[in-house]
Amino acid sequence: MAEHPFASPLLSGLDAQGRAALRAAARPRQLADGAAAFAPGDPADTLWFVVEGSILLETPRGSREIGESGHFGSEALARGASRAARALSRGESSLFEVPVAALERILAHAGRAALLVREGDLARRRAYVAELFATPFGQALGERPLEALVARLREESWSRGQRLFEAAEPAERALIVVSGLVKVVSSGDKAGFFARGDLVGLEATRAARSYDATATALGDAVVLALPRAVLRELSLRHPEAVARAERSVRARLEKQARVEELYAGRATRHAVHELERLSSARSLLAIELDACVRCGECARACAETHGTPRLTRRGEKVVLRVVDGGGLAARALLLAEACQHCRDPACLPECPTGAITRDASGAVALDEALCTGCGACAKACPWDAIRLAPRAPGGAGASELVAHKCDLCRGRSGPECVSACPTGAIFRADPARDLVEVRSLVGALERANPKPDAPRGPARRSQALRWLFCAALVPPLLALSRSASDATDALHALATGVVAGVLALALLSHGVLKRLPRLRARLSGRTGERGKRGLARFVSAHALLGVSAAAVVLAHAGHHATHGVASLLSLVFWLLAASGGLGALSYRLVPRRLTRLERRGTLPEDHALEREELEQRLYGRLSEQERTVKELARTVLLPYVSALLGPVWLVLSGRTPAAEEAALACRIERLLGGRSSARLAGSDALVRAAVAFRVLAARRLLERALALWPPLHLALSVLFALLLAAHVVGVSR
Amino acid sequence: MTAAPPSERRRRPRLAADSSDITRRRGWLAAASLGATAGFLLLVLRDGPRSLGAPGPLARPHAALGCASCHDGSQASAGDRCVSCHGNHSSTRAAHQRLAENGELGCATCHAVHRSEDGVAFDANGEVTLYGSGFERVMVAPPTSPARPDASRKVLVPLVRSAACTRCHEAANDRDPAAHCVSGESAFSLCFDEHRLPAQASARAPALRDAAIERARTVARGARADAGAVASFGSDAAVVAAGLGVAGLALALDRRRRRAVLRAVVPVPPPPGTRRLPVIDAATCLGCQACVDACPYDALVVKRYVAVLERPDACCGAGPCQSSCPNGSLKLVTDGAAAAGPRLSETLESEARPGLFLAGDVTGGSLVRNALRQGVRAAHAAAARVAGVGARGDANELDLVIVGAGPAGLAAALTAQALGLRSVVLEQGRLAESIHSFSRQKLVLDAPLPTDEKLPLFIGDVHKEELVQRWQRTVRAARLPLREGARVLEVAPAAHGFHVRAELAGGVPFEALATAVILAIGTRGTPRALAATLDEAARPHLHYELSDARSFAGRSVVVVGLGDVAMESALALAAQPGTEVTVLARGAGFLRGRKRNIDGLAALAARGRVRLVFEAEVVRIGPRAVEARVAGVGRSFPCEAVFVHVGRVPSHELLARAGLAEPARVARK
Repeated sequence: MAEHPFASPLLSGLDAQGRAALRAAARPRQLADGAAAFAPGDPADTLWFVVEGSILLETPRGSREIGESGHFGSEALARGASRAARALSRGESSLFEVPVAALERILAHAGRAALLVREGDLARRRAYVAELFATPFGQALGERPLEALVARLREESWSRGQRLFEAAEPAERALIVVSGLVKVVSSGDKAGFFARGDLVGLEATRAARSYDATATALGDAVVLALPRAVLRELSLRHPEAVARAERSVRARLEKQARVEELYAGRATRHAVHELERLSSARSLLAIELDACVRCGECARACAETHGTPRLTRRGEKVVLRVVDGGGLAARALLLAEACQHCRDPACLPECPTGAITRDASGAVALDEALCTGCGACAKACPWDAIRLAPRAPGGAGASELVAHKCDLCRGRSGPECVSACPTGAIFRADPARDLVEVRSLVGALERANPKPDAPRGPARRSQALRWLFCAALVPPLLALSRSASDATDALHALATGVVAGVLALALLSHGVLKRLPRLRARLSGRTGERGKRGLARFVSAHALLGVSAAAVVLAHAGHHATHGVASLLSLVFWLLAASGGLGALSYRLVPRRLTRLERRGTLPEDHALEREELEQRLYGRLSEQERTVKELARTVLLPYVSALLGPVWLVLSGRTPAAEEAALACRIERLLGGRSSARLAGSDALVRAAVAFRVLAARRLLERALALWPPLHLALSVLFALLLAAHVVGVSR
Repeated sequence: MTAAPPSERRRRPRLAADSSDITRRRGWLAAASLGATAGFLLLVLRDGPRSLGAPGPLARPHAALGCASCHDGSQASAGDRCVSCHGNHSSTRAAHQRLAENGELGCATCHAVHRSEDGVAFDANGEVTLYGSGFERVMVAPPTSPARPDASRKVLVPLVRSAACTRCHEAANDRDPAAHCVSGESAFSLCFDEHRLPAQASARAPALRDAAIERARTVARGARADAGAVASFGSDAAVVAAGLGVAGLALALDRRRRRAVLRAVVPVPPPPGTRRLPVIDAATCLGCQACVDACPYDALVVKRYVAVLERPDACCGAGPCQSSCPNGSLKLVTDGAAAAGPRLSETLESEARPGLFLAGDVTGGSLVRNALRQGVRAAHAAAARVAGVGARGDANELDLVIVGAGPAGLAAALTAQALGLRSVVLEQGRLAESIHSFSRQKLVLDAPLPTDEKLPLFIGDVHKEELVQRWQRTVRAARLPLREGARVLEVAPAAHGFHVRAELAGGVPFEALATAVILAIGTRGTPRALAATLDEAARPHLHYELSDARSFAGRSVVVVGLGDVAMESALALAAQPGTEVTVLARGAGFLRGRKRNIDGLAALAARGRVRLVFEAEVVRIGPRAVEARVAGVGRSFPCEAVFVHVGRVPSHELLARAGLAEPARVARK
């Protein structure tokens, strides 16, 4: 930036270093006449400064003009706020915007932090009013009374995991939640979730008792404290507002209770446990586990595209109902470790140089040139979505390490992970719109993403039609083959040979073909439409070709192949067909079984650690038990754990871990002849640990079944290519 | 995973790591190509290079011939060359003769040398072999066979496949002259009268020829035409298996090579005995909290976006703060005022007392991995000394006494065990006590070691809880001679070694003569004892450390002291159900400690969960109560256990008593 007016009262007095830091963090903007810098409802993270021209700020209450060297947009000083006004340019104007966190740091370094303090306070109050005004409570109260109320109250800022109040504590204040999610657990372990505009702890404060529940902040939360006196006044002057708030909370709590009941019997975690993550995500990366074949292509494609992996297939497994096309479907989803572009990102205010910013659609971006590798963002992200990696040589920026996170593959035609998935299992969704549980638990208070940036729901594929087609293709080809089982007719041999050869070439080039779209996009640098299904099509085409090729080869070579290249070739082909067929079958059957056995998403390298922990658990607990239980363990549990075929039985029986535990407990009961189970207290935990062992072994077995055949298939296909070349050369002589 | 709220902010950023998804596929294509090439080469080896271009291998009679015998590069068909060796065998059938003259029927039409030349061979030793293109099968002769041919001669009877006849003839058509030749019972034609009629044959070696033909007919009748396929399947499968095996081997070797490549650079540890303090350039400091989170002793804090060294006494002098600073604003600078520690040799042997070694933080260094290295080095040096002292040292009960079971002590103990020394480890508290006292979830050990330096106990980026757990498992598995709760009172020089006197847990005295002693006592010192009367009966109920709060559930306890350790003990005990906690503090209020602890304890006191008694001087600790003077008035606090947390005595006293030189100013934590 050549011209840089430091005439603004905020920025005058910065020394050379401060100016340099400001220049680095600032983003210049040129606006034409009438263009908008931002609109109401946009996320607010930056402060805008006017260099040339002027800006008209339009609010429902009136308009204000900002001239040169003025600044606007101070609602950004309140974390998590959104724009309250529309900023229109009058004439051509030149502006720049600075992330607030970076600005605060720069000013503090220069000793001028006090300048922003008052403005920040005002901005925060105004932002609280704006946020609360959109809730039932605020609506019932009215704007002026709300402003007056907010001005009197003390704000409390809580970070994730902190307790706002505990049960049995004397209730001195009620709370109005302004931002964030607060979980309240009463004595019966019943949990309720309170979000923006809800009043917490009302009855206890009114009656001057002690709180009857514990309130924990699930994420960073801001609340306003209502002391007893103010609450009494409020109830006297505006009883309907308080009543309205209580009513809406009660309705939501009832709904929450109903949802919880519905899922009470499930073994896997429910959305309730992950509610904070789901409600803060704007673009959640989820993997449908029943379709995922655990191939890792998504992570590999991401690493290939960006150099460092920004996606890891670890995380919580939740059963959710997804809005998909016209209907709802309950799916087991893995919430992978990848940036979910939160509505109120924890990483954004942590960055000292303002490298993390948000665009209007809410996608959070990280500027590598500004990143210093300090890792503050990575430490703040609750879900490990930001990682540090050594900086690639040749880029801008000087630090050794740089932060990486998913940026939705901006600049490309769509997320690479989505197009690399062979079964279309990975997708991005907006939980507030696409996940029913989130909508019903946290409700319409969370604004859905106004500008969708991901396709709705996971890609659906209709398998049945494809397999029908395969099945219909095979009989005529087989009939062809039967008519020439001796295969001495030269023409017949040549014809079928050529067809088989062509099909074989098509099959062999699968590896090249599937990379073609990505290559094409990279070469042309297009940013075309998003969310192509990509790889899934090629995989099904490959399977189809394989079946047809098998039939043609049967016709060509018949049942006997002479010695030498031809017989080896046919052996290799049949091995390929067998491995491919088995692979396709495993892709179809295994994921569902595997999902039922998994507790969360893990990678094969985690198994060793898990096994160690299980051993610790089982043997540690065993050593605490009394003799009868130890005897029981020796005769039943330990053989159960070490049975070689045990995992196979578990897989074949198709039981979930819970069902298996019940079965084992039954077996123990029968063995003991129905003796009182009171003596065997503690055996429950042992049964669970033993079953966990077998489940782990079964999972490893299934994962191996999915993962072993591709390298075999690849090795055989290279051999096949060589032999085919030799065969063709030999035959043509 | 429970339903607890998510954990607090991490202390260290996660580094991007390639998961197995990404590393799994590396090297597949190369290994597959290698394996395929190997398989292909095996094929070439098996059949010969020429066989690649051939439509099929040659069978028994022609197997030894080279390609050039028949294929001389001229335009003439190779089939015409049969005549040069076999002579011109014309057909007995007129129709066939006509076709032969026209050139439509040749030797190769029926005898396909490359594809299916078949025949029966009668060997001199009586073996009957059915051979074909690429296979040979020894037949068991049927019992009702006609007279055997002369056993001394080797006879070959060529067979022709029915497929050769059916190219022109229709086997199903009764009117076809060849219909009876091609029967369904065999894949071969059973006529044997194409070139010589039976009657004509009687002129030359009749019995032999007819007998041979008869036997061949019998063999041919039962033979299946696809014998070759079965026979070659074995060798084909072997080729494929060999190829896959090579591919697998290549992949495994590639994986091993990748694992051996290391990346990190290990920073050079400071020489023992120097002391350094961090100096922060406020102009460039970003306030990013990296150094604050990295400091194990919480010596740094960020005030107004700039890092500040708040507790210089707690600073260890060579920690990871410098390496975690992203832009070099924090530098460790040698503090000239600090004195050096006890003078040590290269092998960590003290110069004042040979045979006495120091390892770990007590040498003035820091960092757990340096302590591990020093422990190993000291153990090796001690072993050398034991070997040097030799027979005289055998009179001692022990070769080595290790004082302290922190990283240095444990590493030394494991090494000593591996070297076969008779040793014992005396630890005043619990295993890895100092690391245990790091704040919760503190990350230990940042940069990895070079892979050729395998230290026992080195784990890598891990939380302190996990580290301590793993070490406990290692110690249990190795059955290290570890005595916990043993306070070493004296290490005095004796003949050929040292006389070590200690008090084990429960007051049991311990004395031993050892050839060498390693002091790995760290810098935290020993818990200070109260200046109060202690009843002998109360001794089992007196604790200086709180190891497991759960075991005190439902009991009434008294905690003496109000520092961080005392407050944390009180908080942990109050969190257990049913405990009654009384805290006796000498001062009039909260004097020091972390804000979190003070706030927590004050909140508990306000709720009545914990009883806070200020201005209390403990006078007597009895088996069932603690007597103290509270503001001059004597009071009794009944309890079942007493925890005394009134500070620590620095370790240099032990060093001084052991005869070492004036040690450095040991940091108080």
